[in-house]
Amino acid sequence: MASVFIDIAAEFTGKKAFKQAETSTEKLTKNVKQLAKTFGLAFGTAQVIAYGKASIKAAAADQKAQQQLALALKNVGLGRDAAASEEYIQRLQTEFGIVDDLLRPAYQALAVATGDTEESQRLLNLSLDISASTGRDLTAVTAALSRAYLGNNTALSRLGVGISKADLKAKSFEEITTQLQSTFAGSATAAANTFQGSIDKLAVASANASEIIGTGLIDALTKLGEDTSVADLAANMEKTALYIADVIRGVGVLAGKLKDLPIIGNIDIGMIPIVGSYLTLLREAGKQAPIQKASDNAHLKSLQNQFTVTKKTTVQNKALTKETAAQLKNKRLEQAINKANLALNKGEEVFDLDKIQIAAALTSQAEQLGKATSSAQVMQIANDTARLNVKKSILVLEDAIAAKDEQAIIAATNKLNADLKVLGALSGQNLKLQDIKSILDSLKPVDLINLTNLDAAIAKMMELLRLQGTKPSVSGGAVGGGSGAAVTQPRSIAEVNAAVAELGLNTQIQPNLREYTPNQGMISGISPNGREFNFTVNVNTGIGDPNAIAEAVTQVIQEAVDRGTLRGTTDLFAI
Amino acid sequence: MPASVKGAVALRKSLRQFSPDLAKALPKEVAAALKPITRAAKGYLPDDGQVLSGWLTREGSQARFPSYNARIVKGGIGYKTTPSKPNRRGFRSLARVFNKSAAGAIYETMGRKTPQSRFVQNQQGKYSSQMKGDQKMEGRALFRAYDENNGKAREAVLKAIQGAANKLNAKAKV
Repeated sequence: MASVFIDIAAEFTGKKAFKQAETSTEKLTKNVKQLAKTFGLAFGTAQVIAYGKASIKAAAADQKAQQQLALALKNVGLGRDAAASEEYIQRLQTEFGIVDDLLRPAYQALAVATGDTEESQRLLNLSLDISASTGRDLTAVTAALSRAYLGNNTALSRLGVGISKADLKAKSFEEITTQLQSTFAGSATAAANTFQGSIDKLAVASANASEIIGTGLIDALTKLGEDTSVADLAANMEKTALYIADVIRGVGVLAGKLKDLPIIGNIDIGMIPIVGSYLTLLREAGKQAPIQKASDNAHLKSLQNQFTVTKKTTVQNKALTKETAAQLKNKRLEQAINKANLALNKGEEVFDLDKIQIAAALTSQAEQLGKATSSAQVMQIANDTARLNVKKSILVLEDAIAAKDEQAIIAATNKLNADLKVLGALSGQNLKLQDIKSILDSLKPVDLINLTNLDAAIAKMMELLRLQGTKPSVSGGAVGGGSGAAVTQPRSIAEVNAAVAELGLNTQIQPNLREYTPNQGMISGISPNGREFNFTVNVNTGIGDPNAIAEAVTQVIQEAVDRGTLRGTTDLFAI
Repeated sequence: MPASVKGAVALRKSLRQFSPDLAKALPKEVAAALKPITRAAKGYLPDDGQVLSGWLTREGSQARFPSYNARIVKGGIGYKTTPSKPNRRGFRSLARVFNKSAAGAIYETMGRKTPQSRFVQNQQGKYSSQMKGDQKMEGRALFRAYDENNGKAREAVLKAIQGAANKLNAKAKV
């Protein structure tokens, strides 16, 4: 791009220039440091201050890490094992030469994943072995194991620990870890026993020493700066460092001078007159001062005590909560049962045939009232309605009694009394009702052929056949009808067929046709050509208009004929 | 020399965060201020028929000297309203007009140092043009247009930035 442009407005940010300046300053600092090293100022004041600061920082970081771990364990319900876990980490640190800064996060990750101290320690041991053997980062190994514990084997497969994907899929976590334990057994111990392992142990010891010194410095400086401001504390820190540096330098000078003496082989500072005694006293005072050691875990123990107290309180609270929960549960159960009963009652109402029939009958009565043409019909409808209302009121009263609802019982009783009064008023008109009854009887459907007139009907049929030019199939006298006449005994199909043969007819009754069987409550007649010609069908319909029922049945039969599922015509049926 | 503004980049960020409508309006206002310059600059550029025939794009030519194509050159003139990266001196441009094509840059600045060169003389003979501006800000198209703008665009840009800042401050007051 050609650089032909005009900036109309610009802002000075100076980022680049300042960065250059920063880089230059850093370079200068590095050079100065190197210069200082060249001059051999290892015991210089600045170095002592720096070491002191680093030690304090290390001690503070260590304490923070311990507290973080304790908190994490507490959060996953392993608070009681905080001190034991810290001791375990310290032991691993000493044994394998791995700094606790690495061990704590690893242990924390495993504890969070497993929620079990024993399992966490087992997996951490395994992680140490795998890490020592494969050279992979301990954090990566523990992360892979913790994920595998939770069911995600991807990270574990990437570690290259000699387990195929098929095995990872097929085997359980226990089987996998057992295999890994056998594969990498003793790797961490072997690594710790090498020269590098020894150096690592020294490094750990050095780091621990730094932390211990830092802890001591914190204690000492806290005592120096008691009840004063942070500025005073900082000033005291520097003064102390300066003082210590001078002392160290003085010891160096002293040792240099003493070198010239013939007894310098094993120098005992305590033997130096005056100065030596002061230094010894200082050392003893320092020893007796309550300095917190990194391995003491005093704060963890106090945390554990707190945890014990809290645990007791928690147990009590849990018991209370459990009781309350049980009460709540019972209450909820009761409510649920009540609701269920209510629903059941509703269901019963839905399927209560009495109520359904009453409702249907009332509806029918209302319809009939509209169609009634005479006062007798109206009277009958009114009477039926009153009876139905009485029945309905009785049911309502029964329900109210079952529900133990006082108001409902009173209301239902009043209603029942009122209905009974109406019914009583209607029942007084006996004469009218008798009339109505006779009228209704006349409207009742009459069977053309039934049990009582069966034989007479058969005789009639034979007569008809004779009139049509065919001979009767039954000999005279065997057929009779009417009350008082001898009842014709039922005949079998064979008998009928024989009779038909006598008449010279070729028609035979099929054996699958049913015979007259009074005990089964079914009436069937058999025609000369073997067809059944009569059935009486009783239709149960509650209270209703006989004409309407007959019409409905006729309509159903007609529909069946129309569909082709019934042969014949409705003329063949008497309703 | 561009006008130096303090806090304009931060203002843009704040506008985006707290007043998106103003954040959209500000570049539009700045663009409106810059457009007259670019429009005028495009007008000062010659068409294909007004430059030397040997400078035009030829088929099969392997010449390294950038050939002139009026469409490309005019398209290379534009403006930018977003902050640039900081330059070596730590300045970030807030509003810029540019002439980015190589041939356009040549036409813009040719004759600054050697006004008597044959190429410049021939081109001037074919299409006479006037250079305006001072020293590094001297040119035939963009610089000329900027010079003739008499700082109106700069004022408008600064006014737009100041206006946006004022509006944001007014919004921030409860």
